[in-house]
Amino acid sequence: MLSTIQTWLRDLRDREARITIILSVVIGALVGLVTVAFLLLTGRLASHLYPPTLDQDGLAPWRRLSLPVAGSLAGGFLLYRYFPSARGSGIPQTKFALFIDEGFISLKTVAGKFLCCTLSLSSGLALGREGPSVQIGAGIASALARHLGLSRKAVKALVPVGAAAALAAAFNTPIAAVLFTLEEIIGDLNAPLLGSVVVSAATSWIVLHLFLGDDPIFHVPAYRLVHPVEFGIYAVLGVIGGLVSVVFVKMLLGIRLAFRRLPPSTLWLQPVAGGLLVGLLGWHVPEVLGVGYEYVDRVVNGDVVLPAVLLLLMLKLIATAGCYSSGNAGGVFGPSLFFGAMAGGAVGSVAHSLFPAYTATAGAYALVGMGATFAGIIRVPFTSVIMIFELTRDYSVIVPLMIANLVSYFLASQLQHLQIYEALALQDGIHLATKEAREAALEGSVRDAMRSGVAPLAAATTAGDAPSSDLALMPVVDDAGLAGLVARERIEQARADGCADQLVSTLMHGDPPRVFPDETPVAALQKMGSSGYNVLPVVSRANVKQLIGVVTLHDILERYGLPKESL
Amino acid sequence: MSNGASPLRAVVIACVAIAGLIPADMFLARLERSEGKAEAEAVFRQAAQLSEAGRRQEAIDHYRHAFALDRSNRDCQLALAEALRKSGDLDEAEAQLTALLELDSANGSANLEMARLQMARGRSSDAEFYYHLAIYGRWPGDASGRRRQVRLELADLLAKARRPDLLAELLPLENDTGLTRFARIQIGHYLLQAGSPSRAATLFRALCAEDPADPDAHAGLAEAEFQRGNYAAAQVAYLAAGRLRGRDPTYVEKARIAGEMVALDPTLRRLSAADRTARSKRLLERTLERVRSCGTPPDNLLTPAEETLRKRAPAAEAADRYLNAAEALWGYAKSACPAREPDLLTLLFARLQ
Repeated sequence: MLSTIQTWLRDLRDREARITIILSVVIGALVGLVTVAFLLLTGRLASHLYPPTLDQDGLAPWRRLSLPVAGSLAGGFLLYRYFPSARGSGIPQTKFALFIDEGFISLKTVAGKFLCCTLSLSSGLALGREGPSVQIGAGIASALARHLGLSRKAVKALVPVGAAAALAAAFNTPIAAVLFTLEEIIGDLNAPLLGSVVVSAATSWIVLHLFLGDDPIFHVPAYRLVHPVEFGIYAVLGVIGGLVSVVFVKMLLGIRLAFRRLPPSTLWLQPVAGGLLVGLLGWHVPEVLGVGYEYVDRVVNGDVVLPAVLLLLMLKLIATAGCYSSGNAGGVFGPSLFFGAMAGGAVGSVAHSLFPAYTATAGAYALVGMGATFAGIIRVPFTSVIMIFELTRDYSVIVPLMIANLVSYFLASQLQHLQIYEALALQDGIHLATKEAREAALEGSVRDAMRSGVAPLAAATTAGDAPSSDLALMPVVDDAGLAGLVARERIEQARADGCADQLVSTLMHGDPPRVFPDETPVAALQKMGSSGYNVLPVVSRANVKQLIGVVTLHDILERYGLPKESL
Repeated sequence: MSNGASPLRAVVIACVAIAGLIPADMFLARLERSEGKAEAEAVFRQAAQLSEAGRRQEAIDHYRHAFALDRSNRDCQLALAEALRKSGDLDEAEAQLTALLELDSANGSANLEMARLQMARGRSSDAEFYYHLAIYGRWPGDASGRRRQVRLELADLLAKARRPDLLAELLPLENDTGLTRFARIQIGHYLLQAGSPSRAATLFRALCAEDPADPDAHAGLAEAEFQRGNYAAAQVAYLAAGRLRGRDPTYVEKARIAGEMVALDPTLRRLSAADRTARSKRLLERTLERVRSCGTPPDNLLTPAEETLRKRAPAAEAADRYLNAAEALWGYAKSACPAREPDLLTLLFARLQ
């Protein structure tokens, strides 16, 4: 029995590409279970530390001050002494693992992230749980793949699968989790991993629903666009969302840089600064404590008092930047939604008081503000739109969201060039490929390199009648279209052998490899490598017999700046 | 393949982890639900206490908190909506109720609250719609009692709006024995307002029989009889009500008017011809007095009436002549000098017509 299983596992390993889907389900289930445990444990602990039955007057201020300090002190020590890789959000760390460490995330890091984040988040630090979940999920996938003995390529491929599963469960947003993984973690919306990522996200989400039911994080009343003039106000909200994003990112990076300049021996104590800051702010304004989804829920439901939301926005920006920069374990995913809700609530409140007949209530703006700030900070506008839609299940916000998100994204990109995770990596001395670099690497297609004016040889042409050409291989067409490729050498050989009346069709190689005009030059090179041809016919996707042009090895290399003379 | 990997061990560990996490998650989820509910209930109780103490905004905050802790608690959401309505935040109150009704459209309490909210917005037809949904909705506990209360509240709304469809809402309540005495008296008055004095009289009569010492029942009966034109019965009932209320001058005055009506009304049954003629003549005289008090009435109106009074008419025709002359004068008087409140003449001529 045991030997049968071992044989089966060996076989599976040999066919690892095929087992990715099975592994995606297993990873989805496992990560879903761990994430649910993480969410519940954090929530229960927080609930016991800050009992909701005590009203804010009854909740002793010492508790609001001492608990974040204690949480950050304990977390800081554990991070310093045992789990140095579990510091911070988890998303940049997952990207390091993916792009630099061949997908390696240790189980120790996973355990550390779980433990430290449970401590820090339940003690009231103003950080989110989603980023850490991503690292935990990615780490579980990485460890499982490694221990199954899969290749480094497969291990690397499964890291995003675990990340998507974790985010789907942590945020209850399976579609956004898939998009976020493709858009941010992998950096390619067309990544071939799509299937595995979808399967794991869906499995994890099912696990979440089995245990916690179908309850969205935010309960939003139905909003509608009152008047087209609102589009303009949503664009203004996009501007404000972009500015808030820039302020937050710059503040966070600035404070973090200051912490990095402190002596390394203080590293274990640095998180306490964040805890103390939140504790002091929480002493006076208890709403600053924790990620603050309850207040987001209130604001998106229209419970907006302008001075209060402005104050909360300002204090939460400081609190989150301080907590994160000082090295506590926790993410900025959730807090960025908080900033957006407060900023949106403020804009909506002003707009509704000025133009009550033309605008929706402040709650609708808070909702859109969440997406705008998220798009500005995390720089994933597409994910942001879908995420807010999934969080709220309100279709009517889609168009305003798209407007505000794009404005915020554009403005934030202009004022703070590097995206937050890239900037954080850079502070750590790690040069991750920027989104632009990744996109540039993927840019271009066979169409850019191919020759489109090449006259093919007719299959009925004789070797003697064949015109001369500078191509080593020439396309041959018959009545149906592309018939094959004929080597210039073979035509010349036929002539030299006195067989000038031999038909080209008898000299050609039928059923040649082809490329499509929208394929990447890399794909064309791979086909050249596998076929041994340095010339490939370019054909239409609609009709593979329809010759559009040819592409040569020289043409592709020239496109990358290598002149013919140098080859 | 990575060196040192042990696929079998990895599979075993993964299976053990899954098998261990399932009960752990189940335990945590159950703990979350039970603790969440307990916390929500505690906060909900605090909110109710704050609401009772008149600390409305704090109560709202607590209701919100309780509802955030337990989203399945519809009582909490309803209480939040009610508190929001009372605080004047109608938009959010409506949003909460809409969400609640989307999940449970037959919820009687939620429909009633929505009806009250629509009333607060001044949308009486929407309110009436939700009142009906509440009446036919689902109620926990004493459903018929709650439905009765809602219908009574709706009747009150329709009565205040002087809506003609008031009677339709009163008919199911008319013979409802589950109503309190106070509610039945209220229904009797609504029946009078809805133009059904006979039903009202029946109801008040029953109430008087049940408790002959109740002045409100006698007063209601008096009103009903008066509207029906049974002035004698009305006078008796007014006198009873006045007596039970310690000679309340209002009822004494009403009894006097009823008595005058009895004395003056020429259309009462079983009157002798002479009595009918005498009453008709007295009516003409009082109408003439009213017209003269109106300023300078046209001669062509006064002269024929004065002539009718002066001339002797055959006994068989006299009553009709007096009445015709009085009606002609009244046509002028009611437009030239209308009474601020319906007086004796107004009531009598309304009855004659």
